Amino acid sequence: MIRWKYLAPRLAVVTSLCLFWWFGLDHLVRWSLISTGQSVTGAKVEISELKTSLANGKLRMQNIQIANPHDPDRNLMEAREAVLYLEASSLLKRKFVVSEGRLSGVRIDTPRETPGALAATERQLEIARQLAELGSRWLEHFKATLQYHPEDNLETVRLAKEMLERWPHEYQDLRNRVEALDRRLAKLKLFVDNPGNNPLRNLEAFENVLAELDAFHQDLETFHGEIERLKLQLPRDRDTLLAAKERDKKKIQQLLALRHPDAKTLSEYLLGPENGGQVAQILGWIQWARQHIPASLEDIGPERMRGFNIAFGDEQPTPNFLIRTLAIDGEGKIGGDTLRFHGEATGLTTQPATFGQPAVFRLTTDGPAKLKIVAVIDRTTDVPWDRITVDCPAISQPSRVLGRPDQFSIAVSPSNLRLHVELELRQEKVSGTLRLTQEGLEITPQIADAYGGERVNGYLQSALCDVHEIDVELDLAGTIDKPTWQLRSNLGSQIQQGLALVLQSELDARRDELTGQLDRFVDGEFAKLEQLVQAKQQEVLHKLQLGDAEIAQLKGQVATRVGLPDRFRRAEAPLRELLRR
Amino acid sequence: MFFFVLRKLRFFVAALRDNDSPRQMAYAVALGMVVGLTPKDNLTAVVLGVLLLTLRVNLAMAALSVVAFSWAGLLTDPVSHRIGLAVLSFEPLQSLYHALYNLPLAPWTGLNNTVVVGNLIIGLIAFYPVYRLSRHFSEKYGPPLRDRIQRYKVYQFLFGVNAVTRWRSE
Repeated sequence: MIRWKYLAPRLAVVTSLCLFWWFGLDHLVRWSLISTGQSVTGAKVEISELKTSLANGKLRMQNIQIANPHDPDRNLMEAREAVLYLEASSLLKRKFVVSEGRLSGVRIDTPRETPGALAATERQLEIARQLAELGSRWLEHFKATLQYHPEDNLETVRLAKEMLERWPHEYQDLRNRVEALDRRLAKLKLFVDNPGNNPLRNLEAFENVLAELDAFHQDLETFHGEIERLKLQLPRDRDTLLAAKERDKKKIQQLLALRHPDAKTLSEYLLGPENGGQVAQILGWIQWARQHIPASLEDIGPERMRGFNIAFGDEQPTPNFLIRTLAIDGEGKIGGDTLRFHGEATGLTTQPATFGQPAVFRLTTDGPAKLKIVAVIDRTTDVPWDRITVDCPAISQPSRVLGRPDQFSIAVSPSNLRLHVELELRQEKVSGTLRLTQEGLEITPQIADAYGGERVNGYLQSALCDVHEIDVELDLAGTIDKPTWQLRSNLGSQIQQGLALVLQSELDARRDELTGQLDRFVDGEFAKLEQLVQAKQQEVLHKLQLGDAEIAQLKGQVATRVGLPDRFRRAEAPLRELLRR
Repeated sequence: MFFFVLRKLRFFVAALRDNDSPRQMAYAVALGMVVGLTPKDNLTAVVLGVLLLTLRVNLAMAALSVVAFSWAGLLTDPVSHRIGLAVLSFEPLQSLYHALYNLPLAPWTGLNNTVVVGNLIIGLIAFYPVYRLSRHFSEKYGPPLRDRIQRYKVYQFLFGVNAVTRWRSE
């Protein structure tokens, strides 16, 4: 006989527990995962549906969303479905070990309003700008050199101006003195023509006149001497001007010398902004990932409610939570383009030191550009150590412009690009290399008008027609927040010679133009000077000759007045002496 | 329909209040104490609960005891933690603990938790004193308490209906 009074309540309790287990287990596990996830990420976790199957240790979740703790309007990660197969033996030891799993429809950092590019830090972008600045400074120097107008600074111009001012003054001075002499002569003439009626007084006066005439004669001799001096001064001034012209030509040559651009500067100018921006983007992603993968994971786990769990040492230590292999497929945005990817992750655990192996992500993108990413996240030691390798044998690169269109730029034709990145991060320090190779391309240089314009473009095009490959290597160092990089490329060396030749010829043309102008200037100014000197000289000489004739005439008149015989008039002795005899 | 449901409800309540001898009541309180003190998120609590259900003790009193001592357990946690820590860190038994811990399901029992072990020890130590005390109270105050409860209208309504349903079936 069945004792229902004993059995009924107990059956009711057991039935309740079974029903709770049957219907409530999924909700319990879902709640447990959400609370654990939220405590790990510090952000909201949502799982729309969860089904457990204890028979085969399977856990199936749908529509998983993990919010970004730093930006509540974005999701850190979304997944359409996750299927995990738990190891039964580990489950018996209260270890949640997933032997294999699948995560489908993954989308990372899904924003609601903005595209998926991460904003690089200001410091990272600044370095990209600095690289471009170096080359820009060199171009600005070239432009300033090309547009140099030295006229105001040339010695020749200054000397010519001085001469053109000095010479008229000299002749004006002479002319004034000649006019003074004229006036003296006119006075004498007046006296000689009207001597007076007293012959004795006139005799003395005539003696004075004669003395005056002698002095006048000497002054005329002096004037002749000065005119001769001025005649000789002109060729000396010309020699001075010519010497100054030669010095100025040397100065122009020095000022218009080309500062040869070194290959490194050219490469940095052309490639710095583009590649610096890409590196800044990569470091931005790494920084974002680092924010969400803590440096130390050992302390992460659910908060203990009561008491203290003592681990008595597993025979084979296993982390409390471990995913051995997880197949992943999903999509992400890189540079605004959506790329589908698939791959696997291994060794995902909250206790990497216990597990002893790093987490490894191997992802490959679908589509024509097969991007392969291998990321090793090592938290087994105190110092976080991450290694990232990105390899893409062929990315279709559209045409683009390198450099600055308002200065010097090159248009690169579309071609395939090979990319290889190796980065290593220890704590905050970053080191690594980014290598880009683009082959089978054509480049079209473009130089702005201020630097030569179309005239130079034509020469530049023929000088650079043999450039078909661009190889870029970026060496990274420093920290994630303050990275430093060195850029090396063959582009600079390929275009350096051609560019230098073309720009040198441009400078040579400018220099020839300036020296030609200088020659013409000197010739013109000197011709002006010669004309001026000749005219003034003629004028002064004419006046001096008239003076000589008048002195002779006056001497004759004086002799006649005092009754001196002819033979004494023609004597070489001064008239005064003749009168005393 | 109403009387059918009422009859089933009365049967269930009667089953709960069955085994109401002072000895069975006292065992219910003592066992309820052990289950109540133990944290519930482990296999040990489940085993103790199954044991409670299996034994012929008063389930209503056991349930009350579990609830009451669950709250009391929060107050004993500091003490039970110290006791559990002392027991679990006892050096001569470490190899035994190590061997037991590596058995399947052992980590689920929670017996590596200081509060679980401590409260279990407290429960076991206090089992007999609580049983004796409860039995004394049950013997002394049980009958007067039963008489008092039988005066309540709810009780009369629940168990008085039995006469009406029997009359209707006749």
